[in-house]
Formats: sequence, structure tokens, C-alpha cells
Amino acid sequence: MLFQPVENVYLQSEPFWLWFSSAPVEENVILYSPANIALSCNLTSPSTDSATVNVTWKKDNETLRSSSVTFNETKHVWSTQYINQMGNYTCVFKRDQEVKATFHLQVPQIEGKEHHVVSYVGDSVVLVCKSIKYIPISWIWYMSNGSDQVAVNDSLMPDKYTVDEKYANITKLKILKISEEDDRSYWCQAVFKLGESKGKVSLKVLTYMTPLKPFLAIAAEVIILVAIIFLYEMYSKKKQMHAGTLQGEGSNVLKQNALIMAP
Amino acid sequence: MTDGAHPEPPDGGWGWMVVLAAFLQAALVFGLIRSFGVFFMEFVGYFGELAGRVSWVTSIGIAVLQLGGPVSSALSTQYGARPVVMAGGFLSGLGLLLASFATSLTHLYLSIGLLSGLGWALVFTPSVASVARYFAKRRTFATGLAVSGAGLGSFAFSPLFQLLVDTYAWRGALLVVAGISFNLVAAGALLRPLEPEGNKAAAPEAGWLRLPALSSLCRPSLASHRPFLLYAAAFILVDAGYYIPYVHLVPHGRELGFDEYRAAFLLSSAAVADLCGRVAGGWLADRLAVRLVHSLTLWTVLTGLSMALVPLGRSYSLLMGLCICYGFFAGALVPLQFSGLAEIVGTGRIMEGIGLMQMVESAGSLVGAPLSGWLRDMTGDYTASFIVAGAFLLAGSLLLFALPNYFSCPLDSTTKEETTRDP
Repeated sequence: MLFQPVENVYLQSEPFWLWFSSAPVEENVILYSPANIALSCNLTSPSTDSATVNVTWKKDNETLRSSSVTFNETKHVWSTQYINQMGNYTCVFKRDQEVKATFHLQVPQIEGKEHHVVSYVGDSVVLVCKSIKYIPISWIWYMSNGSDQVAVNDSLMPDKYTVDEKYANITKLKILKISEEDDRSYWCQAVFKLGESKGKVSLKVLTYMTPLKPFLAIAAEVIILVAIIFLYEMYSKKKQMHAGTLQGEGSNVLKQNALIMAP
Repeated sequence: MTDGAHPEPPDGGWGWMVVLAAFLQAALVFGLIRSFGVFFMEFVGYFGELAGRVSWVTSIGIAVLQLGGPVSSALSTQYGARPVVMAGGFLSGLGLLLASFATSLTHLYLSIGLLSGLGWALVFTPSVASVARYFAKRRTFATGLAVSGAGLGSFAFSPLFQLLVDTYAWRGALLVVAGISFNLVAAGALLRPLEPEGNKAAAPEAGWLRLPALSSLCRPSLASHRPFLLYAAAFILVDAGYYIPYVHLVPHGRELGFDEYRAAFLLSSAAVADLCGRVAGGWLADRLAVRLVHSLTLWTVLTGLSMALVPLGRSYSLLMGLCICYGFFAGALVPLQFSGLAEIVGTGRIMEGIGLMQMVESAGSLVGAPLSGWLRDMTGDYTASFIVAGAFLLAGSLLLFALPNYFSCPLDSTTKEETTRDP
């Protein structure tokens, strides 16, 4: 496969002040296809004296080149470096103090899923990885085996693993007849022209007993509540009837007295 | 209004337990249905089906809930509210339990849609009717408290269901939700009947066969009751417009350029306002010396107006204000709808009335959302949809004017009530 330059990309870091040590300036650059790139660092000086500054360009801590630049009337100074490889590039400006800016050139990152995907023994599950903006050339799935990563072979075990690649930017790994061994991490690796990047998806396998426990607890609570309600009703009815008979007796007593009183 | 065959409503005492029962039922039926969207995404992912096919699960459930109204009222007229509601609670939990083992979408249509839907129908009608039976002076307030359970339920259940799905995946979550749904049985146990032998006295022929109560389904006596027909027709129109904002508010907000969370927040604010409106509307109706139908008309008109004005809300704060108004007015009319019905048909036939009204209202709510969506497709935005929805509500309120004795003074109706109540 030919490494063909497709586009020319010019990047510029934000202008920053030389004379106070600010936090290092960093920029992430996502590269999808091969390109010729010009990285530019732009330095602004607050003072009016025309100073000369040393510029050093480094790739991953290895020095590429060193030179000197002088401030012009507009008090700006530029330095440009042409590159065509991935890596971390830093421009370092030095007079009395040192200021630098770093460009991180990367392939598109794949996001996995933060939370576990939950499934049950005997059930099936679909693990999804997406790369919406940048379309990978292909996808490879890995699963963790202890501390290693082993490729998932769906052609060897077609009734266990199926990879669905209907759309190029979404990959779906379907795992059938799940057992407790499948409770591990899975990685989807997207292959781009300039490199690869991985996303992580974790699978958690439960048995049917796990949700059954809260269900049985709630069902027991319902039965207890119903029993309490009916028992209370019977109790209050009994109380009412008891109070009713007492009243009845009382009035009988009064009547008898009245009979006695009346001559 | 009470007739000689029924005891005087206690207006308190055990009645508040009945309100609690109805509140729990509103939460466990409507709150549950409203929060079911969490499972929607899980079903789409698991079964690999289109969103349209998955949404039939809840649509069938709601349709069975509304169409089952008359069945539910006939059964509860015959056997009393308590056994019917407890059976309904059991069925709805059972449906969800069976759904947790589903292997296809059809399985879900049958277990959640049909079985749980039937359970919900058996729960809803008798509970609201029981509240109407237990209260007279404070009926509307009690009903408002009871139906506010729906709003509180959807608040509590949305995050709870999401948590259950994250912990147990949709199968385990449905199992736990089935358990939660079984609490409907406990709530039903609270619906103590007012007379020991149930409501058999309402149907004069009940002495000789159990069948006549069910045959009253085929020729309901209320179908020839003119005020009831007008009332039901008014609410068909109201229902056609009522649910539009719940369906189209968020897409409308997104189209105006607001992001997902701000648009969703519009709906949440309307829901909170709806909750407050239900309680406030009920409370106000019992306090003011205004006739129930007059207040009902007022709230319906205000809801219609605020809905029609929604398209005017171009800025976020104005739109939010209109949503809150809509929510409050829409909530306020709910308790009045049920106690207004109790006034028109009497507590003797309230069961039948609610059941029948539920069934005919489903025609309105089935038409409303698709019509509104069609208008949006034809005109390009939701302006026409909201205006037409408001118009439906205003038309419904106009029908209310046609009710008999509409223009009589409040004093006449209260003295009429008192004379019928004196022994």
C-alpha cells in the first residue's frame, strides 16, 4: 500500500508570551489519512527590544533541528517544521527562560463503553464500537485472557461469535450462549491508514438468581402488606361489632330500669 | 349526589386511605408507562428492530388500558372494586414477569401489551371511582391528590428504571419492575367497600344472574344519557389535543435550536407544573363557590390557549413560561374531569361512566398525535400542530357549554345536592 500524501495541513499553536513561564501549551491533532504537515509555533514578545531567540524542534524528545530567530517590528516570531510521521512534536523557544508547545499527532481514538454491558448465562449479547467521524479500514476484536489480549476468532467458532460489519464505521460483536467464562473485557481495534486504536468494552455475566432476590423480597413485602391490611380490617370490624353489642346491652339496661321506675 | 341505595360518603376517615391507594395506583400504572422509554432503547438494541415496531409495545398496552375500561367497570359493578383491582394488579405484574423471558417482540406485545394492559385497565377505573364514592364535598381535591401519583411516579421511576437496567440488564430489570408492580395488589386491598355486600344494589336485575352485569356492556344505559354523551364528546376533542405537547414538545424545542437537555427540561418543567396543577385544581375546585363545570371549562380554555400560543415562544424563557402554564392548566383539569363526571351520572353509575369515557377518549388520543405529526410533515414545523391542538381543546370546552343547566347559578346546584342528601 502506497503511503500517498493526500492533503497539506498547516497547524498553528496559539501565540504565547515568552517572559513568564506559563503552563505548557499542548494540542491534539487527529490524523486520518497520510498528509504533509507543517507545524508552526508563533511567539509574541511584550517588550520592544529586538531579541534573538533559539528555537529547537524535537520529536518524542529527540532533537530534529536547532536555529535562531529574531523578533521583527511586530514583535512576533514564527518557526515552522515540516513532518510526515506520527508522533509528539515540540517547539522550544529559549532566551533566558524556556517556553514550549507540543503537538500530539494521533490516529482517531475509539471510545468503548464506560459501564459494563450486563447479560445473563445462556442469553446472547451484542457489543458495539463506533467511529462516527473517521471510517476505519477494518475492525479486529480482542478479548482478555488473563493479562493477554487474544484475538476473537469468529470463523473458528461461528456459533459462539458473530461479527456484524454492515456499516464500515460500526462494528458489532454478537456473543451467543453466554457462560460465566465470558465475563471479561473485550477490545475493538480500528485499523486506520496511519495506525490503529482500541476501544474497551467490558461484559458482566449474571445468573438469573441475581435479580430474583430483590423480586422475591418485594413479593414477600406485598404479601405481608396485604395480610396486615386484611387483619386490621377484621380487627376493626370486630371492635365495631363489640362496641355495637355493648351499646345494645346498655340501652336494654336503661329500658329495664325505666320499667322498674314507672309505677 | 347520592341516591337512596348508597351510603353517605364519609368525606374523610378511611377515605384518605382510598386516596392513598389510588395515588399508588396512578404512580404504578401511569408513572410506570411514562417511564417505560428506558426499556424502549434496550429493546431496540437487543431485538435489532426498528423504533416503530418497538413502540407498539407501549401503544398496545395503553390501548388495552383504555378500551378495557367498560369491562373493568362492569366487573367492579358486579363484584366490587377491591377484588377487581387486586386481580388487575396481579395480572399487570404477571405480564411484566413473563416479559422478562421474552425471546421475540411478539412475546412482548402479548405479555406487556395485552396482559399488563388488561391488568392496568382493571386497576385504573375502579380506583378513581372509589375515590369519587368516598368523597362528596372534597371529591375534586381527593381526586386531584390521587391522580398526582402519575407525575410523582414518572419522576421516581425514570431514574430508578435506568438504574435497574444498568445493574441487571433489561431482563432482570423487568423482573424487579414486575415485583414493584405487584404492589398494586396491596394498594387494591385498601379499597374497602362502603357497603358490606358490594355494589350489587346498583343493577336492579342483579338478583337472578351474574350475567346481566356483563350484558350491560352491550347496551350500556349511559349511551342514551344525553349529558353523558355531550361530556364524553367534549373529552374526545380535549384528548385529541391534550397529549400533543408530551409527544411534540421536545422535537419542537430541538427544531428551534435548543440542545437535547434544554429541550428535555421543557418537558420536565411542564410535568412538574402538571403535578402542581392536579393538586391545586382539585383543592381550588372544592373551596370556591364556583360550579365544577364552570371551573372545568375555564381550565380547558386556558390549556387550549396556552397550547395555541406555544409557537409564539421563540426565546427559551418565553417557551418555558408557556410550557409551565400549559402543564399547570392541563393538570388542573384532570381531577375536575372525573368529579364532573360523578356529578353528571351520579355515584351509582360512576364506574360505568369512567369505563365508557376511557374507551371513547381513546379515539381522541389515538387520532391526536399522528394528526399532529402529519401536520408537521405538511407544513414544515410544529406551529400548525400546536394551534390545531389548542383548537381541539377550545372546541371541547365549547361542547361543555351545551350541558344542561350550564348557566344556572352555583347556589341552585348546592341546595339541590343538600336536599337529595337529607334523609
